[in-house]
Amino acid sequence: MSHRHAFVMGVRTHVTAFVRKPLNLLLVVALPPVVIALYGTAMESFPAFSTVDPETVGSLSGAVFATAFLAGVVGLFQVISARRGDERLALCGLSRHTLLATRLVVVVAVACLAAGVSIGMLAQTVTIGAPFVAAGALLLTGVSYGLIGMLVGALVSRELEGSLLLVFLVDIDSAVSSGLVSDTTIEAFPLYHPHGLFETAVLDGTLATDHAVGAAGFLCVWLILAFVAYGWVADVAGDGA
Amino acid sequence: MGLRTYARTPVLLVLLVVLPAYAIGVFRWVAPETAVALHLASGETVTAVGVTDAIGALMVPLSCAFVGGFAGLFVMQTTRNGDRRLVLSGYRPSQVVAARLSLLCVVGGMCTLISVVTLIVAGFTPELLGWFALGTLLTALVYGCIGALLGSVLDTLSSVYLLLFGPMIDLFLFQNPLARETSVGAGFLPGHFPLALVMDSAFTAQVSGETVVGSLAVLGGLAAVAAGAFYRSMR
Repeated sequence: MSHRHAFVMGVRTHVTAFVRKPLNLLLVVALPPVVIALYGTAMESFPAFSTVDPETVGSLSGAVFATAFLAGVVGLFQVISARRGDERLALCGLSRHTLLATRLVVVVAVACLAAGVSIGMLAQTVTIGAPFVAAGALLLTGVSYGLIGMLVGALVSRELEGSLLLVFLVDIDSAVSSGLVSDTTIEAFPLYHPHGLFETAVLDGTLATDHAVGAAGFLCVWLILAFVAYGWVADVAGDGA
Repeated sequence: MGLRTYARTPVLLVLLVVLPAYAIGVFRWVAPETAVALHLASGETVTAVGVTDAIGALMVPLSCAFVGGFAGLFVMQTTRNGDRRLVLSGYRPSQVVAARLSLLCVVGGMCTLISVVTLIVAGFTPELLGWFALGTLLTALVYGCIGALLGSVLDTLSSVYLLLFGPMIDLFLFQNPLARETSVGAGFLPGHFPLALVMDSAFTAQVSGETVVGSLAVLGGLAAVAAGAFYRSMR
């Protein structure tokens, strides 16, 4: 089997597995609008921690949170629930990197879907200054957390531990990156740069180069770490087999 | 038996200790020192409370809600087949359900203890420590029952989605006392009474009986539904 054929077959299998349960797909489409609306409504009566209207801050944070989390959970489950299946496919001759790349394609597809729905919902309530940059920033957010989910899934082998770890990571990250705090240490959090890039694109209609570079840098780090961790786990599993 | 399974997975035990401590610690570390007014569910307004203290106190039940919710979900999903075998081998379904609900209580209690100790070590002691701990435990159990219920009707991925967004939206956004006014829907959410109990006991010297009774009623209702769903899945 050629690499290309194996890749296409792998992607088709993972996508089919995901869409076989329509509720999963429905939640990816339905949750971002609900979360954006609820965040906006709830933040409306919060005290203003910045010059931006709290409702808008809430809607932006909801969009980032929903996209990051949906992609992160898919990344996590793509790796954890597929571990055994991937081991068998690897024994059949598919390379580890091809397998990981097929998983990554599903994560990117979910991130695209969540980002698209989020931008569409946000456009109903907020005037988006630079829609394409904002959409790109959200996509970057989703892919980054998708990779973090895959990394967590490679390191923690069970769903309970992986879900717990991811839920705390994304919740804390989303809250501290939302503009609630101004401490310099928050720049080390994964959502800081994507959130800054997204916020600038929506509110100012510009591309914040420092945030774009930071977000791209973090993305590369997550990509490398996810590949290394997945390869390492696969090698350990292979040795044990 | 359930406890033995948990004890056999040291990664889980480490996460149960580290994650709530991480959440509370990070928020107390990065939150601004600004003083704000807290608008409690009882209608009382407490002025000049540090954001650090307010967010720190809020993170305790939120962390426990996440841990309780996921424990409930995975208790339901991972033990279902084993529990069916236990029933076939002579255990009464009610005994198995009681054992699983007791496991949720132990996880909730452990998480409450760790979170409250972390908050105190981080520099904030609630006014009424006992009521604060009880409110936190009730929040963990309420979400534990919701997790168990979701686990009995949905698959894992969908349940995880809902369990992440649920506590965050309910507790952090709609019940947050930093908000000047309570949203109309807040009173209908499961975290309303337990979180009111937590925040009242954290920042005032008295708690209202309504929040205690309301929390127990919500927990009782959810526990009955979760136990019913669990019972049904074993037959």
